[in-house]
Amino acid sequence: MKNYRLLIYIHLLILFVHSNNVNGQSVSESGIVITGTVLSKDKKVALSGASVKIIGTNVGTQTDADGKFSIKLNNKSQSLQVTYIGFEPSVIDLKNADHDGNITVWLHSFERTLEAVTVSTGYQNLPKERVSGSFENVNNKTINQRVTSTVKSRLEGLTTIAFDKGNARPQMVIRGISSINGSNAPLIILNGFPFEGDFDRINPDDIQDITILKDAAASSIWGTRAGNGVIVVTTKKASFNQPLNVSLNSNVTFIQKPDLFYLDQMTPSEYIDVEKFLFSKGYYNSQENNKYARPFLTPVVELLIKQRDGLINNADELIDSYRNQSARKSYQDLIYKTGFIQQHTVNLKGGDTKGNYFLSAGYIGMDDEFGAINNRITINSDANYRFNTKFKMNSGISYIQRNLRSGAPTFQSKNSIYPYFRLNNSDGRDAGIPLYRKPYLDTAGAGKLLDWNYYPNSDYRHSVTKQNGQNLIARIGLQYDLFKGFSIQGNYQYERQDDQISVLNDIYSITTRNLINKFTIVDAQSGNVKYNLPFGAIGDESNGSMQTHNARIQLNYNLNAKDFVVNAIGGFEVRSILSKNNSFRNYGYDPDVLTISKVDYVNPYPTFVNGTNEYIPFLSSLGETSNRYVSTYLNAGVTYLEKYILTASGRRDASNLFGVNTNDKWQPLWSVGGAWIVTNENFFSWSALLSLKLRATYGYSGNVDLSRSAVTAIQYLPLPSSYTGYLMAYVSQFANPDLRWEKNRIINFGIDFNLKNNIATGSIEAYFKKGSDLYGATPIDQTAGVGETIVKNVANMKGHGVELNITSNIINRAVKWSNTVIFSYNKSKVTNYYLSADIGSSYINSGTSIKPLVGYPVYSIFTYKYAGLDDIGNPQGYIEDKTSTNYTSILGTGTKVKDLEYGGSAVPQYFGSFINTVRWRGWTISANIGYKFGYSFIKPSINYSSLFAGIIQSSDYANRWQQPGDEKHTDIPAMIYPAVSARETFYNSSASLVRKGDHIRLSYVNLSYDFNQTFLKSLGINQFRIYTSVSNLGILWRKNKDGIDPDFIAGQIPPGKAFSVGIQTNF
Amino acid sequence: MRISLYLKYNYLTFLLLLCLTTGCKKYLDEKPRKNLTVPSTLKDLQALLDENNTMNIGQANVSDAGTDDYYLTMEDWNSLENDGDRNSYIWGDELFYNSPNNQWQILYKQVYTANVVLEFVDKVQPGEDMVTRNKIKAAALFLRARAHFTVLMTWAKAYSSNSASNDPGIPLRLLSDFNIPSKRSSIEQCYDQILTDLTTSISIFPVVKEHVMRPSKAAAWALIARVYLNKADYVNSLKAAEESLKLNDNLMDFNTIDSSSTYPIPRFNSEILFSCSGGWRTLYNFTAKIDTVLFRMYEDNDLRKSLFYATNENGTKAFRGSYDGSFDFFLGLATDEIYLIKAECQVRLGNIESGLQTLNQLLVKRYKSGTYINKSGLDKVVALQTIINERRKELLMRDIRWQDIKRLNIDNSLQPITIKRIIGTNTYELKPNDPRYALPIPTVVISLTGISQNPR
Repeated sequence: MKNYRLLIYIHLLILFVHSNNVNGQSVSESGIVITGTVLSKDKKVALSGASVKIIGTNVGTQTDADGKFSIKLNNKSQSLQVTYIGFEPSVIDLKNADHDGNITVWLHSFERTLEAVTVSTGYQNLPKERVSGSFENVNNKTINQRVTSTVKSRLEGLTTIAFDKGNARPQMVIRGISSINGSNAPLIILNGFPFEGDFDRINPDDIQDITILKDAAASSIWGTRAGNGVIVVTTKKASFNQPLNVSLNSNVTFIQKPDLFYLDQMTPSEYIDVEKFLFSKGYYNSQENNKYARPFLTPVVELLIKQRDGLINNADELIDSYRNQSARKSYQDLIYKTGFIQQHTVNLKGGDTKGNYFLSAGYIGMDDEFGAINNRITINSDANYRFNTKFKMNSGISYIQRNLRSGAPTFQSKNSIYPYFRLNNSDGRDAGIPLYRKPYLDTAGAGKLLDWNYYPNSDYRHSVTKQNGQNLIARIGLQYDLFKGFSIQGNYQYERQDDQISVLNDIYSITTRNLINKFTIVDAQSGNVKYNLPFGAIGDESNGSMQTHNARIQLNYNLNAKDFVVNAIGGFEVRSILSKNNSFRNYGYDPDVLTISKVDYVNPYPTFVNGTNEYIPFLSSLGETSNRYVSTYLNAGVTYLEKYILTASGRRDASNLFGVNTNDKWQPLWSVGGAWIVTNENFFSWSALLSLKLRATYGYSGNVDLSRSAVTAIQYLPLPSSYTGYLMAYVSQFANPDLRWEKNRIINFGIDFNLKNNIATGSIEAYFKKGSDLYGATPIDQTAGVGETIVKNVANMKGHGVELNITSNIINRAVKWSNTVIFSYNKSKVTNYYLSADIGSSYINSGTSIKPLVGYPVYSIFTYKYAGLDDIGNPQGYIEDKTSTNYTSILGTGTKVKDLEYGGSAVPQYFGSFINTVRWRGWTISANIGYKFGYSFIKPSINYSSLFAGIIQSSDYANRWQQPGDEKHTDIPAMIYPAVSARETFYNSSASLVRKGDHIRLSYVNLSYDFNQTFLKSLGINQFRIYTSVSNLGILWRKNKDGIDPDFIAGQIPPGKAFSVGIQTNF
Repeated sequence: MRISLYLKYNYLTFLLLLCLTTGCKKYLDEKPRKNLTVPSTLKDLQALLDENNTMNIGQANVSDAGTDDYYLTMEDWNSLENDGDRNSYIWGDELFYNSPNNQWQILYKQVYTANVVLEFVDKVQPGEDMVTRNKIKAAALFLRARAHFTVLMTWAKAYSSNSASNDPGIPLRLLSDFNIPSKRSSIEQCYDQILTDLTTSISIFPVVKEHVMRPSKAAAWALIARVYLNKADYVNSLKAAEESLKLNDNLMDFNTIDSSSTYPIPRFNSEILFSCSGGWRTLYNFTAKIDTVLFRMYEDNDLRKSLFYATNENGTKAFRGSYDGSFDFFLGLATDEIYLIKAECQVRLGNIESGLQTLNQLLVKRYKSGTYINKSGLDKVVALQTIINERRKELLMRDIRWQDIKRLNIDNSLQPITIKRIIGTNTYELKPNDPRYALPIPTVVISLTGISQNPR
């Protein structure tokens, strides 16, 4: 707490005390110092990196991040020339300077849409033309294209970042994956420091711009954590000399119910047929006779049992009445609803010559399709203050409060709901699913037990998870200009995230009723009841907190000589991340009066159903992790004659990586780069090309995973043994002294261009990545006693790709039509695998995991070759090139790695989007079309082992082999009994289920109207816009013929269409 | 003035950097996780051995799946979900394919943990507490021997003195380094190593009273008795059994046990020397029906007839007599087995009367009070058969029957045993000394190590 109170104090001080003016002009013996600000006339934003020269001399300087400059003149009769790329140069007659020597220079841009682009590495802001690396800038306009509640989703389809909806793979990938088994998430930098909290909690309306650092020259400054790319997020700030400005953004969104019928499932009637078939085979006998577990049997099976025992004679009629019932339909109608989101953000900013401030408050309220409620309040502030021309201070505080209340579970997550279940009975009351066999429950406990049915329609209202989270970030930075372009700065940031999760299962929830019943003893003779668990709710609480401290001291050097511009930084950094968590459970919990009951955790009690002695679950745990990093870094760029640019950076990181000697903890990473601005050459005189820059970089980034160890490490279990009371520990890390850090080399080439009249502007990049010593899970002899796979440095990989981002103005008259093309191509392959394994089955891959095979992408699809069905409907594979149905052998030694069939990359190799925008008067309409090509997926089909176990399968069931001759037109195996799991595994991992994922989708369409500015001005309003947006519009074209959206396979459902409407204004 | 200022700033920066870098080493020595540690105390090692989930629960008993103590109906066999479960019943090929219950892996995980403890036990806290150190070392040796012995009994042929030095045994893993390739030692070498571990264990095991989930000296003697019995070394087996009984000869009187509980035999009861348990799908009482021949062997006054069995609706019998007090099977060591080993060895060595007396000591506690008639005056073969029958009746579902069938078929002093399975119209038969008495090693192990598979 103490850490940030001080900052708040300082922060407020800055906000309110900055009116105290300090004279900006100082007269020294030899001349006068002029200070000024360079601003863009159109955007009213400060221009950083503009060149300021005294006409007729070689004396010059450059504006800083705030557009400020300071220059020493011999006398006031001299003039200044201010130039900035993309803007008309301006000559300033200093007679116009106000009496204290402060001037404001307004520059007009050549092209109204060309913006001065500043890229941020998190350590420094640089004008884009001075960098050689691959920086992708996402401006504020782009961030506001989508109406969504997270920053992450605002980047989707608008950048070269690959988004993956699959559950198993990393969700956000920059330039293909760089690590086989390590962390794959990009590093998020928020206002100069790594953000460790939940990225989704940041209010996107507070974001000014985002820079994506893609190559080593851009990212190596972030060292070992930058191996997967870096996303630098900068929140909005005010400028000096800016009048008070208030802006408001407010919108509402409605989201359609997701379509459960997208799930590919066999019909309830088919499922009933399977149950009848299994019953005829005696499949349910062991369950029916299981007096020890009394497993639940579906109503159809119970009817069949009654029919067999001669207890009823209308079973068929009753069973047929179930055939038209659909759990899906029932769930969709009763549980799902239209989602609603509202977002409001208001911010104000202003500043004078000494200080400026920005304040914003945002609210997001979500009431989703499952009835979950998610609210978020964000407060963000930023302030800058200049004590004098040399000493500057920046500080910021942001606070996020998020509250979440759970709704219903997804349909897919509730396996216990059988396909012909209806959530309510004809009388409207909730229908239940017994946890044990119904005939058993009808008499069990002689009425002394609680209801032992699960009611899907209402249970979620009795089992509520509440999650409250708070994030606090407080930062302060001080900068002091030393001399001759040197300045020193110190920055500190404190970040804290606290989360409280409480799960309350009240007495009506099945969780609580089940546990109470389980520990109830009913004496068979006397009928006496003993409840070993108190009547009342069960409350599970867990608390987590994470605190990070970041401190940095940095020396900057900026030189503006006649021919040279030098920007260099060097610094030292310390970071620590401390996470703590604890959780516990209360029985007999009354949340209203906060009372709990004692239970006996020490003695086991006989459980109701089978009498086995069990202990009452004791759930308490404590945890603490601490990661520490120490780093030194250096980054320098030299621009010669405004044409040639040379950059270099280096960094060493050390961490408390467990089991590594301190000396080995340091990891050096570096990069070099060069660029050539061709259009600045005298010989270049092609007027059609306004600017052209060629650039190339080379460098290394790394990756570290703190969970890998070089020594044997043991981990204590949080609780002692319930049997013995002794403390227990297990070997959690197997000694591997050869463990090394993963390393990535990236070579990048880029071209930035801008055609005359802005016809087209953009960049084209090509890169080559090489990863060595990558962590990977490799199969290990189970006899070694460390499991089936072990993670070590196992492989090298190579990747290359092309990225293209071009915006062209196709029509630029009264109607304006512009088009942005974003295209990414990425190919990666494993080049070396240190271990050789021969057995094919270890490398079967549906694309959800990484099993390195030399020459193939890291996420590949590998299947067994498929030879169709034989004449009795069995799927056939190959052993030594002959068709075979010996599945044990195919899955075992019969299939070598070379016998597998490569099904393609599991991640798109070509992807991107087209964004078309048409403007006419105040109207703007834009549409985003996304595409993904060059990849495959495995279509889920039918697994009879799972089907017999009660898990509903694909509608492929209807097209299965049923009689001889069917093998000519179907690949779907016959249903045989008993199911042979090896046969099922073979078929579901066979080439017959590989499908192409290529598709094109319409991501969103936006329509907005900006009110006439002159009209607004008369009302004192700068801008007023009304906008609407429709997103999740679905697929326009797909290659697969199965109606599958390749972004949503295996139990995932595409989100419903979202309709938004909102206003945005500032005054 | 400029210069002095310059120096001042540089000096300050330099000083600051220096302070920070020298502080680094200490700063970086912080553990990333609080509950994570390199084993550095005897307490840490003891905690590794006390980890019940690896050392006591979920133990291997796959060999029981192939015995003649139970049978499955065709419907129940068909309804088994895993191919491996079905295979285990008919002595088929792959046992653990797709199965969460990979018992090969479970056993070698114990060996690994024991090896880690043995590698650290002499390094930590030098000079401290020799009694505790020896106890931990002895326990680790016991656990390694027990796991190796279970693997040997399951995945290798029976011991035959003529061929043991050539017959393939099992991979012996004596170091924790997982990069050392596995190879099969001979059966003779395996017995030698297991007995070396156990005798070393005995030599340093302090006698302390602890929870039976921890190994003890009495348990180590008991295991030695079992190992020698399977090696047909009756002299040493008898000696070990007697040593074990000296430390613990408790027997429960079954007359005092309440038969109304679902699982009447209490967990951690006074007969138990080392407690561990496990399960295998085909053996669970809701599918496994007790062999009718076995059930008919109990006399009416035998309390085990009701304490060990429940009657299914169709009259078949289900096992409920686990010493684990649950549906899981007791797979540890208990005094009842040691009495039976002692009795068998005495008879085999010619002391028939003392052997029968030992048996009487056990059985009198198993019959209704006052109904047991002491056995005596039997000839050697009958006495031996009686004891073997008592082993079946007393020790079923304890992962012992498979070992017994194997050694009895080699030994040939009694009628050889052939096991038959009938599933629908198919009949399966396992003849004496069939190579399939050594279960198939998981294919993935064969393919990664290149060790030889057991012939089928």
